[in-house]
Amino acid sequence: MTSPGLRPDAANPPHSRVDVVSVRLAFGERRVFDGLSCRFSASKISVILGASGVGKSTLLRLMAGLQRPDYGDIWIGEQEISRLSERQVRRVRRRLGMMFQGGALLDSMSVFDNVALPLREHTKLHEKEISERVHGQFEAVGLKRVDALLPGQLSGGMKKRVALARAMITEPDVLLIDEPFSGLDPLAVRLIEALLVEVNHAKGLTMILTNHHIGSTMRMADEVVFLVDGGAISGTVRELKESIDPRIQRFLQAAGTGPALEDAS
Amino acid sequence: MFELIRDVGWRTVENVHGLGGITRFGSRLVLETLAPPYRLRRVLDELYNTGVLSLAIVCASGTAVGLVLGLQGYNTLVRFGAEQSVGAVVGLSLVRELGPVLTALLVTGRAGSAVAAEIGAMVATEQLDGLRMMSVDPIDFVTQPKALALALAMPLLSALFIVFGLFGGYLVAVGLLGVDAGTYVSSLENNIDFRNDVLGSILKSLVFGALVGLVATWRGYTSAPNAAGVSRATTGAVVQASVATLMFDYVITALWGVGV
Repeated sequence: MTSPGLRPDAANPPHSRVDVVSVRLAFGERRVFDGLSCRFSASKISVILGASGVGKSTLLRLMAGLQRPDYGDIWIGEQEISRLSERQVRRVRRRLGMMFQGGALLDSMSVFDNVALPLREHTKLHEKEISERVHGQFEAVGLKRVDALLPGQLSGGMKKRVALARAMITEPDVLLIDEPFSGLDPLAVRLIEALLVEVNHAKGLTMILTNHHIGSTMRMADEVVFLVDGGAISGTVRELKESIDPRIQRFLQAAGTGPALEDAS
Repeated sequence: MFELIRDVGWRTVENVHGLGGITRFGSRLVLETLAPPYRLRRVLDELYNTGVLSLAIVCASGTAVGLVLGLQGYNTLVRFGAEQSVGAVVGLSLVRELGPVLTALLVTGRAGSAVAAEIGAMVATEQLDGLRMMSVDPIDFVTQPKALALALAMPLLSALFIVFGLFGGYLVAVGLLGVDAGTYVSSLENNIDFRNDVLGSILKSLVFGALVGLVATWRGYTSAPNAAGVSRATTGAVVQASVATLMFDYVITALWGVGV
């Protein structure tokens, strides 16, 4: 699974913030991962790239403990999670935040209650302190006067911001983000992108995104994990661009990133 | 022939697997109900959704059923010169059978389907996964309050159904067909026994409420994460809860009768 110019994944020991080691996963007859290994460094922005249906979101779900591998290990820091009980995984998840593609906000609750929920469930903070923290988070993601709105009343971009605020309210170590730019106009893409980079720099948290938006990947990624043929090829953006692996080249060409790639870098 | 045997085998395995799944799920619901945190506010919200919003349909249906019972009961009893017993016929039919069973079927159609559809939609839009990522157990936070509310609302709705049914029977028998009001009421009073009839009725509606709550939340919780999955969960919840209600009705009636 190595590629010229890129780092072979299997050689990476599981000591980084998030490590996926020799993971196999199949849904019925369809094999999604066949010995997948990759690492996501601490405090970096890592982007998972790959064709549709290759398993980008599934990989995020594996790291979140929402999906169990058939074989292999998933390490969050020093904790291996693939064989933990649901109750034990729940404890590990307190260190994780996840921003889902559609936001996954609770329809029946207001925006404020959605973001306040983890604090009400897991802390003994008073309502006043919860309100302060929620509004601080709203400010961090650029939201104003949204407290009483229901998720159904928000635009796509606002939903993403609320989802980001909710994912960050418990100050996680690792933030998993599924397709943050899907369904957004170019301006909103730039805004969310800048927001994520700012959050990463400010909080120093490990950020792992799935993304098929090549331009934004090139602009914001510290590391790229390219999923292909049941495995992964990892490297920096520069290594990805310089790779002579035909699968990566084909993907980048199909995405029309020749000149865009240069602009982005 | 071989394929037929294989299909039957697979279906049997699937059904046993499903039965095991719903049993485990039911056990979790009971445990979450007994263990803290007690989500009183969420249970009250769900009681409003399942109970209060079902009031109109239950009261209207109860009245209609009472009107029909009064009319049919009178027309049958008058042949034997026993029309003075119409109150007892209406009362016993409603309290022992029609009240709990028809209320369960009505609530299944109105609230059970809504519960299954809502939870199914939450699965499809990753809201339950969103809760898991916040280290919140969706069975505790979402399904348990809904199931408990259905179980608690059912006896109350059934009681209302019976009261409105008795009123409907009174309207027809006394207002339309000329049965004496005192005779209607005393016939009711003399023939309905608290232990055999009223307690049995409450027990039935509690069991039906628990059944509808369990089936509706289970079907929603295990639905496929897409529109077709939500649709299947909703239909499945109504069908399975209705059939289970009718089957358990026989079992409880038989057991309660044996105990008398």
